Amino acid sequence: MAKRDVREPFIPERDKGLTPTIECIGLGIDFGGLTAVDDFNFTLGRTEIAGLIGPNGAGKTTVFNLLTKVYQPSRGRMLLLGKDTKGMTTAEANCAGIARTFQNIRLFKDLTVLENVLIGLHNEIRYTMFEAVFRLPRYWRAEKAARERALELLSIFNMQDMADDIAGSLPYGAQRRLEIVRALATNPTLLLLDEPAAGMNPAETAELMETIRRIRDMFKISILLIEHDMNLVMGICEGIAVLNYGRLIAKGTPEEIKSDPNVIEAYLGKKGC
Amino acid sequence: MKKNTVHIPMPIRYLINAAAIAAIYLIISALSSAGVITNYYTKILILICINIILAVSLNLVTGYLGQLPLGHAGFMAVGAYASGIFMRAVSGSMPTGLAVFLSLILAAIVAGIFGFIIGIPALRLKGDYLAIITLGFGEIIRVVLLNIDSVLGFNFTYGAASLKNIPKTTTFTLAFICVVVVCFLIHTMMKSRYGRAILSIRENEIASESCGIRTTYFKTMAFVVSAAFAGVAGSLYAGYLGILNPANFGFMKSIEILVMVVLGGMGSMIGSVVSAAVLSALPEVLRAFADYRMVAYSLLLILVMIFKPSGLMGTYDFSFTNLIGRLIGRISGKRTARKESAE
Amino acid sequence: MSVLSMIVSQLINGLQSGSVYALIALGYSMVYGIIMLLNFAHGDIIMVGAYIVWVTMSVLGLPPAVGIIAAVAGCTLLGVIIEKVAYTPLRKSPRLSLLITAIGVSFFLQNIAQLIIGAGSKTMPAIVSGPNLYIGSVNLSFVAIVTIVVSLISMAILTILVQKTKMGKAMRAVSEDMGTAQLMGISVNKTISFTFAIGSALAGIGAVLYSCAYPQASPTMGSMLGLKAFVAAVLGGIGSIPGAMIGGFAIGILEAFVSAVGLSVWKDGVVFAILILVLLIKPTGIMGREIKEKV
Repeated sequence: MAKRDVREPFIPERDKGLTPTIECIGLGIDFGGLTAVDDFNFTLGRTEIAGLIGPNGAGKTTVFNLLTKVYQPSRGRMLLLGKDTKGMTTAEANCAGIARTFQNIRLFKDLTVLENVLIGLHNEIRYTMFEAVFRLPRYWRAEKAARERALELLSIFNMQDMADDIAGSLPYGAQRRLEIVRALATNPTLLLLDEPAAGMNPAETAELMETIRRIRDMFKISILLIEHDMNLVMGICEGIAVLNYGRLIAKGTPEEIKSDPNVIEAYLGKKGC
Repeated sequence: MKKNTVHIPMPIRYLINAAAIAAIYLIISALSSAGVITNYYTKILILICINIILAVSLNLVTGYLGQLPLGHAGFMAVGAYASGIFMRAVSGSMPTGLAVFLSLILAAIVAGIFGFIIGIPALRLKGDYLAIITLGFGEIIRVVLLNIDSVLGFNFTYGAASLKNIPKTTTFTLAFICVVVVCFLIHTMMKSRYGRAILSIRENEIASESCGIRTTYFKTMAFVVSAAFAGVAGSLYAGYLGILNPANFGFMKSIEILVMVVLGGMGSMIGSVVSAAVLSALPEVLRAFADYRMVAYSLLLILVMIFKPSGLMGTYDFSFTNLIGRLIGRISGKRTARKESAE
Repeated sequence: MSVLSMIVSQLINGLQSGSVYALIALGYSMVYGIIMLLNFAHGDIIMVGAYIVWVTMSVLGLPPAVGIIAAVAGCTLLGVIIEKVAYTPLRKSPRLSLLITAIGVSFFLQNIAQLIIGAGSKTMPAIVSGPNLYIGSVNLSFVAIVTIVVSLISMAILTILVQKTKMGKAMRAVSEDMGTAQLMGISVNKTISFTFAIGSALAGIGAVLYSCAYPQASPTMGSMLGLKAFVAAVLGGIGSIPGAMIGGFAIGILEAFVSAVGLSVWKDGVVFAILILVLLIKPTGIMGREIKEKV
């Protein structure tokens, strides 16, 4: 099989012709002289589920932080639906359509499940401060609609019955799912999942795979995930990018990645050592 | 707990709450016109109201936003001086009622502006550094109030000689109305998307930002609102004492307000109200033990932190109508509850 | 008096108060470095030290040497007790609780002192005395020279202690990573207590030196002094030992010059204004390290 050039875009056939969700061109970031990510070229199709894999410390989460503007890149450009994202803040990136979950879960722990989702819906709820403090009709209408929307989103994961529970008291798996619901509430075009299956058992992981697919089909969004569970990655990702020492070393379909000598070397080390 | 609660619909909830507040007010004014509450006690009641506003407004930043500013007395001072100077200037040339109303608004605006000026740089810092920088600003406000006249070349704040002869316009009714308005505004704000944004910053700033919440904007907003209400308390204070001295608004005053918030439970409005009321009334009631009062305060603060760091009320927020709902629910039994959950 | 000699004498004034600030700032810095706590009670330890000097010398009529030893020993003990009683139970609590506890301890010390000794200030006896030194037209007071020399020696000893001894190594290890230090067999409790002891001993020395310069003791004397030293620690970069020294001297000299140009009433304001400027330009102070939250 001919090896794919990691600088060339790779997206599924059906998304070709549409503006890609994101397009990274030579993205790189340094932390005080140390290059964490370099020459990152990556394109994501509009309805693609893609995976970003690589050994620990390869810079996967740093890429997420670059995409969500937690870090500003030192080099290169990043286009979101064809628009340059230069100078955006994290909040602006979210409003522009990028939502994420975190490797180390970051829920609003002392608030209820419902409140967590309502905070995700923050920018969808429209009333002014004046209407809020004096409780004018628009406040009631918007709050009611938001509540219904939140419960609807929770029902994707069958969590509507937990709406009044405190988020921090949920079991681990439910917390991960709630983070996804909260991210979806922000009405994204791109969902970034940072190790969504971490700490889940095989049955839960299988269920998660189904749900991720369902989310993509329901919301017509693209999903990029970081994951160490190869069953999940190989099972649902259409395209996979492999990162090592901050650089892309391979890009392609799951089958191509599985047999790529560079990837095998990155994970297992050189033969004959 | 939830099962036995009857959900009371909105307009009725308002009526119940309004009736409860009116009842409290009427009882107190009846007692005072009957002579049970003497002038002396009325004074304490006004002081309680002022401290409640201070505590509730600080709670907005400390309890809900999760930041620890140590300069709240500075905003109170700004409001007090703005209002005091205004009242002296207009006294006699304007109906008193209008002047008092304008002085409250002015105090809120001036303190709010100071909150904005201080909040923009201060909120760039976090945790301890925010505490330090607000402490610094608070001290600077005090030093400026003390010495500004020598720079201006005319008497403005009267520095250490005190700003005297401010009309004593603060009555219990006025202070009570202010408490109700401030509590209402903070409560309704916290139950909206704005309040949730503030809470989300306390819970996890990075996650909040990634939910599309402009954290800097909401932090500044909470800070400004908190400062403005502290200004209102300052205005009432000016009209209560009739005399202002920068020494009244030192670092210790900020700490005193913080103690009220912490003891009540950070993030609980009812906690702030109750502990502000108790801590303002106690020293007057225990006048004989005045010397031990501050020692007891400080010990209490340490003990609460060690044994119940969430404060006496935690983040519990009291709802009078929920309480009534629960009572009705308990009386009418499970039948009502089932109907309610079926809805 | 020529401008130059005025500058020199103000510099000496500044170095004198600055060295007291530096000694106290070191206590703030060391404690912050190890348990990330702004020990608000530190300033009040100085107040207690000053009262110990007053009691031993004025009330009991003992010689200065006894007063000095008693003050340093008393402060050391007090620092350790405060740490054990008020801070140790909160080691796993949120930082805010710890900070509020420290404010509570500060409040407590001030009020208990007021209760026992009274709110009025007490005049301190002369602790050291000697002839003034003249260099050209510049008059150097004996107390100033003693203060500067003693604090420089103390700082030198501290630096050796932290850099060269086993306990110093343990302190640095605990402040880097408490958990790992514990796994390496370092007794975290002992190390933290030791840090408090050293910091408080320095405060004791500071109390004695401060009393030499300003022979007045009052229950609230520690609060402004503590705040200033604290500003010095932040200015230099809290957690950094050389930073605390630089910050202390900087604040002292700044104050001396602000007073010299006739703006002494604005002194406190200027100190805080500088603090704010530094925090905004370099939030971690002159020598501090930046710690970023990992996402």
